[in-house]
Amino acid sequence: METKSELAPEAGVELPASTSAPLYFALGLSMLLASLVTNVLFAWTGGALAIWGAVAWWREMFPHEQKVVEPAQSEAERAPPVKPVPERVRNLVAGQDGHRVRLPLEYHPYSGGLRGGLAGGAAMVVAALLYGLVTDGSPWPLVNGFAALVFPLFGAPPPPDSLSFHPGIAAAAGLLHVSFSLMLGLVYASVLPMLPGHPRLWGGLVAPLAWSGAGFVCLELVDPGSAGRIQWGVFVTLQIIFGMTAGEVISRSRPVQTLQSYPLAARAGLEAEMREDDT
Amino acid sequence: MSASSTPGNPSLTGGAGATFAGSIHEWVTTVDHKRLGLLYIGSGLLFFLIGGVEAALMRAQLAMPGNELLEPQEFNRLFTMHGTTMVFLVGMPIITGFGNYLIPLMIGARDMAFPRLNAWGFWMFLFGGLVLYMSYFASMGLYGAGTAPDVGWFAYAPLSGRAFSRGNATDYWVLGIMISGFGSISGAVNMIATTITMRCRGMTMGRLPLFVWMMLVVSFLILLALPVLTAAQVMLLFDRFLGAHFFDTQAGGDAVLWQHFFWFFGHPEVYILMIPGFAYASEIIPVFSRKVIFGYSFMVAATIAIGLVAVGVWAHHMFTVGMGRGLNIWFAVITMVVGIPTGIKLFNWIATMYGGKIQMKTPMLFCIGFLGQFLVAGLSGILLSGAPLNWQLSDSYFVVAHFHFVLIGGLLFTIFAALYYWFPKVTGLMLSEKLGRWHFWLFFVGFHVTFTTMHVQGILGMPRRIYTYPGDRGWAIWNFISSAGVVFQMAGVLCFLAAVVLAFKRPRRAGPDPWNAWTLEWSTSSPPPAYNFLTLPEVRSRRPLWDLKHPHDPDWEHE
Repeated sequence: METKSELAPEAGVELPASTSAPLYFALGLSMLLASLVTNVLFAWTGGALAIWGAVAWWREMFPHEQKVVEPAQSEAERAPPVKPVPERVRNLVAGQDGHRVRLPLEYHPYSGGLRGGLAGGAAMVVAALLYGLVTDGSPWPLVNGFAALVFPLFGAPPPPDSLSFHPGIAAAAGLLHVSFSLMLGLVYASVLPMLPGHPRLWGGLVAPLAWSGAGFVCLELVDPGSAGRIQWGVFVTLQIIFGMTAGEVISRSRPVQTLQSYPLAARAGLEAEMREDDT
Repeated sequence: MSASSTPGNPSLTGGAGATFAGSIHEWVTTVDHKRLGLLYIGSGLLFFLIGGVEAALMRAQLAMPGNELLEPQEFNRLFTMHGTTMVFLVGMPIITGFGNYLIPLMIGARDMAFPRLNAWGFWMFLFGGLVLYMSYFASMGLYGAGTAPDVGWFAYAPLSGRAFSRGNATDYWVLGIMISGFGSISGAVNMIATTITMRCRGMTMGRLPLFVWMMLVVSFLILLALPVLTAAQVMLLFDRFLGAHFFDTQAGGDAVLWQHFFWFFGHPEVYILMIPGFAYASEIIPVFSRKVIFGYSFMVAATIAIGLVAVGVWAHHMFTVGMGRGLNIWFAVITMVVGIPTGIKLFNWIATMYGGKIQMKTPMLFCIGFLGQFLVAGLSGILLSGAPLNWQLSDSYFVVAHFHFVLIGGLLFTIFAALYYWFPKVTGLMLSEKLGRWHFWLFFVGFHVTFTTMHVQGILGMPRRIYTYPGDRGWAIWNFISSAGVVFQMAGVLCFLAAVVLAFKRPRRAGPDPWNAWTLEWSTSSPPPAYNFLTLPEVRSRRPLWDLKHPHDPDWEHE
């Protein structure tokens, strides 16, 4: 900030003169309107005050605006000039002392998220089929259970029984499962770089537990019948298997530097290369 | 045109020898933006105490089922006057007062663009408020019916028509709001003209403090929204006095028309009240985080976006009217869109604090309280924007909880933050930090005890505006808790009043820049002289005082 001198400021500063005209004009108008619910005397008095205030206001402005000279403060009353502080400024740089000036510094590529989602989904299917084989002698109970839970949401009938293989139902359930897995993989790829600590912990344990807990609470409130049909222990175990697999695959993908530090031309794809001092 | 100048009379300009009568004359004839700002804020705080007493009476009535402390008619008048007072006579003058006081100081000007219009605006606001409260004494009218208005703060027609609201109580409501509305419109014109035309050298729009940017957007919103309410009120007066039928459904009028007009004003009004709260937070959070605001340009863009979207969401207040599927979907979606720019702001304030050297002074405590509470307010707003859920919760205490989270958890907390932050500039005196902390914690606890529980009452089905309720609905315990919270809030406000009294009784001098801040108002003395700046400043960045304090690393090298 710099200061610009005016003509002899020490002599004082011209300011608009105080006036009662706006007060009378406002009071007059208010009384005029209030006369609708009070008395005709309010109308006459308000009208007179409004006219008086308006004329006085006009005379304040024409032919010349009324002003007063406000004397300048004495030196002792004035604010002292702003002085430089002795402390030096330490600007944050990327990665310094745990601070990040850009969030996130790097992100996982979307392809890594898609691969992670597919891998997690596949691991989940394998675990679900094995679980069915061990407990019920058929690999299909969890597949049919998933279809029974989700299909009614789309207006489709649930499977007629839980142990048999139904090709159409398995295909539709598989398609839904792949879609969910891909979406979750993309979410992982986007979110994991922004979380502190180890990505496998967040992706493999915390996130599956969080959405399982949220699902349990919401389903109990919204659809207690469906909530009762779910084996929550198995559900949580399968989610953790998904999360650990997907998190592992995604965290192995090669991170990409965020574009925030790139010049506009590079971000817009106008230049293939950057000078070193642009980075 | 040349100016005719006369020497200033020391007795009328705050000289030491000023008499009491002289001081009164000086204040009622003032055109100084700072004094008018203080008059606005002082009047707003007085009305705040009145509106607070009205709320406390209502909570006392609802503390127990079947209570007979208040008559039903009196309860109706209280919720009408409480809502009207808090919106029009507390929120509006306080935000206008801060704008009046600070905009010229922040942009390096000596006054507002139209000083006399500024004075007129204040008096119109005050007389409007007085006309409204005159209804308690003078509204018996021809029919001897009623005292204060009892039609709710949105005065739905045809309830507010002559057939259902006899006497003159509703007319007092219409006239009082209309008169104060003229004042608000003139204030908005003044703030726009001042910001556009009176910035000091170097103060480009890209260097405006965020406070000024946000008040500029608010002023445009006032110009868009308030005239619509005024027009609707004139139509209502035509119905009531001249036998017109704008809102008379039996004579071909349209009751829903009033709702459209009212909420076309009413919803932007929420942003008119809330954006200044954002403005205070945007000035205070960086100073007490010792960091520059994160994402200045995004903050400006988000404010403009909120202003634009704000005029397109009004009918989400009318989902239960039966507007039809298409309109419901439109207003639900566009309401959810508001969450995007608002979310940007929240993230930017948090990012400003991230990595900063946070100083937990009283203004910052209130701002941090605001951040969490406004987030809850926004999330319950998103819930209510879904038409199906809105059908269940409309006109329940869930809605009451939602808008009190906005207006108290959001606006009032930031107003308190602003009062603690700028009090040293206005008076030259520091407020007690200890009493400030007591104020914050008592008010914070009281606020949540009262209003967080209201969400539950609403979900349990308790309608708003009922004066009592039976004891077998499961509402009694929640109402008792809600009412108990009022005691904490009142204790908090008493701490604030005590801090103000103590500041004058045992003065601790603040100096020009007690917070080590960066905008222009802190470069002048506390309190500032009538002319603000003896020589007009010239700035080179958004933080001119930072540049002076850190010449080795000025902001203009980075902006």
